Amino acid sequence: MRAVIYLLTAVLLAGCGFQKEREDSRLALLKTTNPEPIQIERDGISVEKIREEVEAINEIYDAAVIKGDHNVLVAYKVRHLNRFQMKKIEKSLKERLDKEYDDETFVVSSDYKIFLEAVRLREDMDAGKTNEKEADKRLHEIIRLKREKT
Amino acid sequence: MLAMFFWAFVIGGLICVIGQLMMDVGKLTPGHTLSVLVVAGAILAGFDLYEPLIDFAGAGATIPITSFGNSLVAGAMQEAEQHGLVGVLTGMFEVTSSGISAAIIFGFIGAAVFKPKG
Amino acid sequence: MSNNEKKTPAQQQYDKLNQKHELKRPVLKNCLRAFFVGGLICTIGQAITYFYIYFFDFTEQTAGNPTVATVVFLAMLLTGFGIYDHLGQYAGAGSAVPVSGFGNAVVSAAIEHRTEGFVLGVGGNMFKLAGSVILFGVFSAFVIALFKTILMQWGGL
Repeated sequence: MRAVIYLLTAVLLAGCGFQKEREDSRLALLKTTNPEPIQIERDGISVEKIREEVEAINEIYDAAVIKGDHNVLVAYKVRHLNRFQMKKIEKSLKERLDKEYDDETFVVSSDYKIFLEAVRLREDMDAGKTNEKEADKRLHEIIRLKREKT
Repeated sequence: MLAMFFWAFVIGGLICVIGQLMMDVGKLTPGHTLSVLVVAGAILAGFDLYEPLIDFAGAGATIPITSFGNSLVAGAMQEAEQHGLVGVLTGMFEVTSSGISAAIIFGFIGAAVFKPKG
Repeated sequence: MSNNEKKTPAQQQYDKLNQKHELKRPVLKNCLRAFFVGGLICTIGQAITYFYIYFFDFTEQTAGNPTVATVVFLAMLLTGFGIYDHLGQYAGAGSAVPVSGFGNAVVSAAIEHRTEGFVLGVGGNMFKLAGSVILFGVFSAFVIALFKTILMQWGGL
């Protein structure tokens, strides 16, 4: 029994050591963050509008929108009791957005990781650590991550 | 995220209770119980019911042995969509291999490091 | 007992005696223990999943595999130090149903037969307990996936 307690303490302490991260992204999965949308590419629709539209959906709270050169990334969280239908919500949201703005390519994801990365990118841009060109690269990384399956 | 922990606890616990009931009330041996649970997971995956459960309960659904059956079916289906019937055979361990390979590797290391007891 | 007719009166009497003295399994208590320990293992698994999501490039979709491997690794340590056996006695299915139980079955069989050598002992006995899980898992998955593929291709499902 004692060894179990030691192990747990070690894990907990190791967990605390990592917590020197940036403010919001550390809590991004715990609370509603409502990150400001990012508009890397200025042509076309405004990200604000998309965010409002996504957040108006009942099953969804907390949406992060990033518009890049070729893609618009929409990451959001689904209310927990609706998570059973998560895949269906994702599909219908993508169809809806594709239909409404047919000159944009949407990447839609309810994955926590994608959301977290979107918030991190937002913070890095706010802190002036990332310029628009790098941000676009990061966006591509995030989208690649989303497409990965195994 | 906190809700995720809560539901992982509840769903994971419930699957274990089902196993316990099969052992206590159904008088099955642990080996039989685990085999039945794996098959149950595979059947649920066949009806596309296991993925939503993972979305909902996270590790509460991926940690119990039922997820082994699910990922076998998921891997086979994924491959079957691309290569047809042959894919059913070749894709089976596409997704699952991590659990089994981990068990093999760590089992071997464990045998090399630890000494048998009593 | 279904095959009572074939038994002598003395045997029947023994059966009755046996039934009377057979330990009543404390089903409720066992279930509660299984629930808490099983739930706890899954909660730890969830924490490991979030660890991989936060600090490595894993998404919710892909974090499952490293999580399972980590849990099996922890099970190896606990088995090697003899802790998992105690846990199993306390929790029953609560420690057997999670993959850590699968890992425990493999690791303990491997350690136990080490004295017989690495090839015949460890290699030959490693999956003695866990083999049935793999066999029935793989076979049932094969049948199900086969049915589904056929239905999808010819039934237009």
